[in-house]
Amino acid sequence: MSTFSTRNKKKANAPSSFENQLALLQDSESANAEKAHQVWTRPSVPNIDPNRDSIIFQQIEIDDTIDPESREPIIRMFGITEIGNSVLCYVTGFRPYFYIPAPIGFKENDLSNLQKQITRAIQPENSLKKPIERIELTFKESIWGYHGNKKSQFLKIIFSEVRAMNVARRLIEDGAIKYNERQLREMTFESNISYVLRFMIDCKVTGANWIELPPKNYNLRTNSLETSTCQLEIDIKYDRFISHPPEGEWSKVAPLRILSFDIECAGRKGIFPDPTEDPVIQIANMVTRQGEKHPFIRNVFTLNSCAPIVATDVIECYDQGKMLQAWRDFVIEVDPDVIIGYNTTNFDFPYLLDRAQHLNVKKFPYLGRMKGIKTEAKDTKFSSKAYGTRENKFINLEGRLQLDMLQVMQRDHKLRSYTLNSVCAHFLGEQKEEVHHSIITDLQNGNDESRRRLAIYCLKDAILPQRLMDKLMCIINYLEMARVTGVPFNYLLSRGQQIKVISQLYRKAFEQNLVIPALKSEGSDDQFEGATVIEPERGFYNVPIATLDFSSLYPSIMIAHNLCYTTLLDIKDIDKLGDVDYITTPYNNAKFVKVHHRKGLLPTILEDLLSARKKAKADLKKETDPFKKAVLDGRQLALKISANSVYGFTGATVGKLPCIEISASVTAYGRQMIEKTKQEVESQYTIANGYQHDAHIIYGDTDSVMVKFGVDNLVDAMALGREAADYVTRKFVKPIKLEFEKVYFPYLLINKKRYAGLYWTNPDKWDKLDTKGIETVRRDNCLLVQNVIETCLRKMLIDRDVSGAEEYAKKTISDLLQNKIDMSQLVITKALSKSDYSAKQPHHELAERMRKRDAGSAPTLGDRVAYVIVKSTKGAAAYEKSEDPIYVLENNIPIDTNYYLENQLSKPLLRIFEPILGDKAQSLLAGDHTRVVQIATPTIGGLMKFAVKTATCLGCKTPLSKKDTAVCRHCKPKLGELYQRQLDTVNKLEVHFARLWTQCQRCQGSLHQDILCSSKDCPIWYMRKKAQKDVQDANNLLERFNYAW
Amino acid sequence: MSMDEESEASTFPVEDSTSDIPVDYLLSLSRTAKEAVEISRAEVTYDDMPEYRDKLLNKKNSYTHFAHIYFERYTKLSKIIRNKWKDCEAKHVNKILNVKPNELCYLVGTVYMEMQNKPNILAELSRNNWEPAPILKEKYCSPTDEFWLDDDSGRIKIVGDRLKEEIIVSGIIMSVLGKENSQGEFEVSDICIAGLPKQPEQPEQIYPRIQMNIDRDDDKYVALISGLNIDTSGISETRLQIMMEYFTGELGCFHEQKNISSKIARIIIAGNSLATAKPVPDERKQKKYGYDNSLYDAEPLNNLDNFLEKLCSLLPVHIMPGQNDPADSTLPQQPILSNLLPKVGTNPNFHSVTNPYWCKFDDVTFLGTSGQTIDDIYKYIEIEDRLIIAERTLHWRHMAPTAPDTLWCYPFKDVDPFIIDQMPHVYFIGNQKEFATKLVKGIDQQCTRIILLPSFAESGIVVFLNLNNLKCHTIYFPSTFF
Repeated sequence: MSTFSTRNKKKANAPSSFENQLALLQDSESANAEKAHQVWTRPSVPNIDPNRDSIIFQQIEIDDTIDPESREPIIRMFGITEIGNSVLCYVTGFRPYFYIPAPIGFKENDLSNLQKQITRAIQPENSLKKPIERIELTFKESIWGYHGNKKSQFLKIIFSEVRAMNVARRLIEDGAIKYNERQLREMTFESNISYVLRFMIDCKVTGANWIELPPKNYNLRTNSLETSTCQLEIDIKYDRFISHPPEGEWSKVAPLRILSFDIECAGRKGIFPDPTEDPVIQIANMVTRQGEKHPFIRNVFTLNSCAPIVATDVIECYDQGKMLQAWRDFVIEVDPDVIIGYNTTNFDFPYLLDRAQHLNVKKFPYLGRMKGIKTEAKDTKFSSKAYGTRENKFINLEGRLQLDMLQVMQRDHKLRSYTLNSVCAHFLGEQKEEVHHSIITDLQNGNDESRRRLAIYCLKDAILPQRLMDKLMCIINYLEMARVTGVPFNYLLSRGQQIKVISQLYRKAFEQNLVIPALKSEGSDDQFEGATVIEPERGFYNVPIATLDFSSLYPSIMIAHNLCYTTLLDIKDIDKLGDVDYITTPYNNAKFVKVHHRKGLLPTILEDLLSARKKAKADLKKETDPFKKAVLDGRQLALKISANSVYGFTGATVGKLPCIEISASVTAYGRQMIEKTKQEVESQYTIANGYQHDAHIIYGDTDSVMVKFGVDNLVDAMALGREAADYVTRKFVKPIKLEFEKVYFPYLLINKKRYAGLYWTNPDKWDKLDTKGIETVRRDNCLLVQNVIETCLRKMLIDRDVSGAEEYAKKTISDLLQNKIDMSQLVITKALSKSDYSAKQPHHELAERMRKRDAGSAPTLGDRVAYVIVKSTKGAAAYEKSEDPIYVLENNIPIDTNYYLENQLSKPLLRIFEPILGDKAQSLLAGDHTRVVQIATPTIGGLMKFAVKTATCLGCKTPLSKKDTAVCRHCKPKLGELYQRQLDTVNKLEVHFARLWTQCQRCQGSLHQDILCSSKDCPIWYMRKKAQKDVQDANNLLERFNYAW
Repeated sequence: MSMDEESEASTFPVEDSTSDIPVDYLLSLSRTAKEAVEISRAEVTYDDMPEYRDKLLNKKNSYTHFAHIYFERYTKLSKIIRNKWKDCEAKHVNKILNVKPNELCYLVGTVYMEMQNKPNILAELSRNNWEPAPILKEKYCSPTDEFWLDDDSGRIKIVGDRLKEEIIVSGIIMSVLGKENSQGEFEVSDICIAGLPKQPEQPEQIYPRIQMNIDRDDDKYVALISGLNIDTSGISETRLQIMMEYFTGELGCFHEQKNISSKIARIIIAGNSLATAKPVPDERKQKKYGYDNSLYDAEPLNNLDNFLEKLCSLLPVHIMPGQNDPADSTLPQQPILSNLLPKVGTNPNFHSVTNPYWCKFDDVTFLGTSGQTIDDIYKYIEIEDRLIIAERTLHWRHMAPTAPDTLWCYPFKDVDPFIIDQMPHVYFIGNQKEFATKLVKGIDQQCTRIILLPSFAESGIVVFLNLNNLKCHTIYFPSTFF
């Protein structure tokens, strides 16, 4: 095992055969048994005596169902025991409920009457005999506003099932129920929370925590009663089990089984695979136990024969339906807790389900843990302020978690491209071979060797999501997030940020006897002033700039000023309440009572989160075990994100409980504090006060200010920064804290939220080059822009060589104009989505044109289209000028270098150079270096049809008469020189060609097979194609010298 | 030209077994004692061996996959190797993929070495351009290297101490005997390679002549030179001049003329006739963004032209391109374009040939390279002795196994021109660190004289090979007259 990890490191810089890695995966467990069939089933269940033994498991998913007979709602908890047995625990007896304020003068003995009234009102819509279990008279307090800490009467209406509750809620809110001859129209409280979450809150169950079922309290179902494929099936009353908070011993993680899979379809040329036509030909699977490094099951289901693959079970099937069925049986036997993959939710699962339906494989769509529940793909739309709107499929796999790594990536990381290849290159430092889908069918129709090749490719795609997940520690981080925020694991991917805050809010409110109104969400576009900044003083600072940050600014403000729903003071109430201490915030005179009257709920939540984070961070420092470290780090991250999302929750105008008074006050305070910091620093650190220089704030952002203390060395700047942070902190209410974190030196301030600097935390060695808002990851930029900007910044800031940066920029522009830039640097990629764009888009137009040329290789919906901008008639729109890079290479089509210079390079370049060079920056874009221009002569299109090809002199480009073969008369003396020049070119290209093509051989892991890879994300791909053409062209030119001179 | 006789041309200490030319004795004789006797130059028949020449000249302008060349190599050599295991009791597995665990068997495949120090263009390209380029090591080999055996079905990792006893590099065809272990690796207990090829039957075998080991009056010599490194600095000029005088017979006594100089029938120049061009950076010059013609310097070529013109007026010269010469840089290097050497280019004595180069003088077969082949193999292994490496290439029956993986070559489609399918009598490697030679004999009386040629510009050494008995000796030419 240890050899593998060292290998991996090596692999990072030398990507190579995936087979090599597979070979190393074969571990000792299957050592002795010859080609042992890998064991699929879970460990068997030990003998359990319900009277003596308790059952302890980590629940991973909770959902609800209805008892088929009594029709009462039941909670289902799926989980795993420590030894890896799967558990389904039915929790019974928990009833949904909500609150309404009791009508004035309501008495205990009015309860039965009310219950009758409501029951009567519900019954036309609900067939239950007894929809309401009971009504209780309680004393609660609404979370909204300060009421002098007085509780009032609330009615807790407890229903026997969820639908009845929803009907009642609507009727009560609409005033459709009569009670005592009066209309009962009330706002409901806590009625808009799901039954599952309600259960979790009331029973103190958090996401993915450990559940203990004490002996004598549960009933173990016998085989005949089992409804699922879980090994243990248990019934228990909702008040009989122990829910362990995820702390100490209970922060462990059960050995979850993670299945990572990938399918291959044999598509037809030019058409996106269609499940009613194109077969699924391979399914590769990797199953790993959480916490272990390597998968213990590696197999591939193939349609038709397939040559053996080292350390992998090859399961050959000769019938499509049987293969799908075999795979389904495999899934059920392996019984994974988590299923991952890349784009599995929107492609692999729906495709498998549709294909199975088409082939009429009746038993296939039962992939969840519940017997008899069909797995289906449903369309869902998910929109969130933080993540944007996404249309997704939803696949129901009861009892199993799904983690589509593509969605995880799109959610958590901002990248240029989200193809598996580029994501892996980014996070794992590996290129992977990519087989174009048009070749897949050819490989499938070949022999068992070619299918083996395909299988290796498929297997690699199956393991990469797993490795990606391990690398990014997704499972751990998501588990911790679920534990911290108390929501089920599944919510994290399927729901937005709000639900996490809601869960915490309800939990705290539950403790404090508060009830939360169910507000009708009203989409209002009230935009309040965001965090403005201190206007930047743009420029290049070659002195240390100290940065003072408010740590957790917004949470601190809420804590410091006790901002909460529960402390919000209505002006009308002030007189009523009499003697009350309050503060008035800078926003619209909003008023909040001080903490001695009532401690706010949100501040309490935030304090808990922040102190928990502090604790996690302290533990993290002490912890030595890497796995526990990962858990703690995941936790502190989850805590930080949660703390910050509380502010967002109060400001979400379409949210469940928006409160503009809170969110606007927070930002107003924030602005005020930045201003105050500026004043304090600038008035304290002055020459008048005995300091060497007058300090000056050059820029202030949401939660930080940049101070120029005037000193020219890092040591002094850091000392002053630390001092100033302490000094200013003393002027603010606790726990607001200004921290000195880093010094930028040098610092390039371009504009608001756009800057770059060399980041120092200790005076001996800089930490990193930090950039904000500078185009590096924008996808509609070509790589060239990113490279040039990054290199220039490096030269300026790290090497402090501004003229070197200028020179580099000029050189690049010169190379660009002379066609010396590699095509891969100029390629722009965009995914081809729905074809009904109103505005014409370059990639759409190109896809259309490519389809006309060759429908077989044209990109189809969902493909990413790569294009370059080529020269065209004057004034042609950009969308007309897009062209397929390969087509450009093959036909020598000239690149519109001016487009790249003007539309891609110039703005970002000027932006970073202007603060330094001022008006002189324009000289980058014009001058000597832009005078030499080379344009390729296209071999097709337009006028070329009429053009006659004439050889030109290789020295001076004069057209040659037939007799001359390389040069004109005048250049004849230069023949030797010209020949050598051409020879040099050929030599460079030949070596380039050889290096690129042998590299691809290494990467594909075979010397004897042709290179098939067509991964457009690989830096080599265009280069390889171009090298092939270039070397041939250059050689043709060289051959023109082969005559007697 | 007056000079001290002692320093005119002194011989370099030659390996005992190969030379018994009484050089000291030669030198002791005065040049003035020249007798007025006509001495005619020895002549040999020349066969440019079209069966090899055509393959090596066959660089058609078609750049495709490198898989073909591996395939050709594998097809040709695996047959031979398989035959060698004929009597082996172990099972032959014809496809690497069909290896079953724990079953003793043997398989044949192409070796692939996974080495982290190998130059990697992908890593270079993915590296951000501000990061310093990794320093290229003199040798690629490291303790973490892995050996794999590859055929068109797949590859398997080969392990075992037996591998350490053998010289193994990427691209050779090898057979291994052993078992697949539980890790999916193949544990090697024995290795087999193609072994020395045969020499074609000839009416008069060379072997007996070598056995006799006598010098005769009708001895004929071929002079082997590499690394003239002609440039404009004039450093090697004196050396070249002295050598020239030696060939013209102006230098050395009559006896020497009679016994050696006149018996030199041919000269082969094995690469690097020109020195590496070093462009002189001029700081003051304004940077030019375009084509800059000031970098080209025709002087070295003219010097070479003049030198060869003189040489060719004496005897036939075969010139092979080397790394620094004005020819294509990937193997096989094509002949230097004769247009570049206008004075000598049309001379019938001038033969511009390929690198590698096969030819036959009288009945002696020559195979030579300008050194890149051995230089590249050298990087793969810890062994320093290049003579051993050169000998191994004969046993592998392949002169450039590391092409195309790290030694750049043309992607041949249906031929591997680097296969050595017959044992040459002489196998010379140009541009090596120092002179060394060895006679390799096979069980079928086949034999090869291996010669490592040092760079002439650096060492002043020219090697003379006696076609009659394959003995060789060297002569040292000083770089100054005094």
